[in-house]
Parts: sequence; C-alpha cells; structure tokens
Amino acid sequence: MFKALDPLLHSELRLAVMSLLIGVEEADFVFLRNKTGATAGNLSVQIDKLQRAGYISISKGFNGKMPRTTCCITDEGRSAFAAYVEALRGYIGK
Amino acid sequence: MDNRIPTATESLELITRMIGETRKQVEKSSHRPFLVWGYTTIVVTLAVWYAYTATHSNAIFWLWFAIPVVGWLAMWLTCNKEKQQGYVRTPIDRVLSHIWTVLGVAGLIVTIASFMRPIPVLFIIVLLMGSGSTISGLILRLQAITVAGCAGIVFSLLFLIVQGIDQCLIFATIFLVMMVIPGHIMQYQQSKNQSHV
Repeated sequence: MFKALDPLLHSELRLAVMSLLIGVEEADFVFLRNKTGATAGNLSVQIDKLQRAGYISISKGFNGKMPRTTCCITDEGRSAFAAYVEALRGYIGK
Repeated sequence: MDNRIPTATESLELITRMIGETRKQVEKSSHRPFLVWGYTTIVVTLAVWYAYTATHSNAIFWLWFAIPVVGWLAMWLTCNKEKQQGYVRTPIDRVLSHIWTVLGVAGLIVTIASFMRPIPVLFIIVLLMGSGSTISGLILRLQAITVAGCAGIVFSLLFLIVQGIDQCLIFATIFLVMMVIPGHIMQYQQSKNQSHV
C-alpha cells in the first residue's frame, strides 16, 4: 500500500522551494527565484501557500534600501518534507 | 519551473538537484574571506614594515589597526553586492562566522595588549588564525585550507626565533601561504566545477 503524497509538496515549484530551504537556515526571495527560474508572481503565490500551511516562515526586511523577503523552513515543514521523501521511496521502491 | 505535478522519480531528482544548488552556492563564496583577509593583512603588514624601516617611529605600529577596519569594510562591500544577487545562510556559514568573530576579537585584544606589555603578538596572531583556518578547512572539508592552516600553526614558531621588524616579512609570507594561496585554489576549483555544469 503506497502512502499518499502530501499534495502541497507534490508540485514542482513548491517542492523545489522546500528542497532549497531544507539545507539552509534562511534564503531570500531572489535566491529562490534564481535557483528555480520561476516568475516572481508565481513564486510569490507558492511561497504564500507554503507559509499558510505552516511549512515555512517569512520575514520582511531591508538590504540597504532594497526590501528583502527571507524564508526559512519550520519544524512542521521539515517533518512534512521528511514524510514526503519517505513516501516517495515507497513509490520508486528504494 | 512551474506548478506541474512531477512523477515520483522526477520529484527525487528535483530534490537532489536543488540540494546540490544550495551546496554550489555555499562553495561559490567560501574562498572570499580568505582572499579579502589574506590580501588586506599582507598589504598592511608590508606597509608597516616599509614605513618602520624608513622612519623608525613606533607610531607606525598603529597602522596594524587598519587590518580590521579595511578587512571588515571590504567584507561588508563584497557581501552586500552578493546579497543583491540572492542571499542564503547555511548552518555552516553561522558556525564559521562565530568561529572567526571570536578569533578576530581575540586577535584584536592581543594586538591592543601588545601596546601595553611586550608580548609575542605575531606568534599569537598566527597561532590563532592558523587554528581558525584549520578548523574552517575541516568543517568545509577543504584539504587546501586545512593543510595551509596547519602550516600556519607550525610556522608561528618562527616568531620565537626571528626578532625585530623583519618578523613582518615572515608574517606576510605566512598569510600568503595560509590564506591567499588556498583562497585562490578554492576559487579555481569552484570556477572549474561551474564550467563543468
């Protein structure tokens, strides 16, 4: 019996964002956009979904005069990511 | 990248690729502190040596404080420029930042103390910075930095043998070996890895 995959993580862009954040303490919006190649609008929407699910936390600040949005993964997000990877292993038999 | 639903295999590949991207980002800037602090120290040290040799004035030694001032300014400028292209902070960044801050403050206190009491300041500074480089190399798993740091620790003993203003020349040479050369090796390896992607 396969475990159900978390629908929030089972989307290319949201999974990419979580994968980038899993190994770091924090990363800003520009870093995530550069690495995913997503549009700013789409990335913003997906980050908002992850935040509302409690998977990431967002803080707003400034880098000099430029506004900066910084994201970091929460404990809940870390657990959900681990569960997602575990479920994936079941699907591909690893 | 969009909101497509990936297959299980694609998901795992995506996770692996993105984690690799983060590691690349960390490697991309890890050589910078070594080059900034290495070159700053060498230039200031040679300036101190040249000025003292020319004037024999003890006031020249206040120039040592140009190292933290110029170094921090150069680091702030380069970090700020990089942050505009995307900012990321890893647990390794935090650990290394704490280690170098503590060692930097210790170095500054030793330098201030050397103006009050005669102490082998360059010996202590090289010992501290050599330890910092070795620890950084071990954490980052970069052999060039680890070996260079160990070399710095061993060469610090030279300051107990050689005396006088010529210690500055040894100090500059050790920083070349301990920070600048491994910094350029890291930079070369990183650019080689990037060109293979």
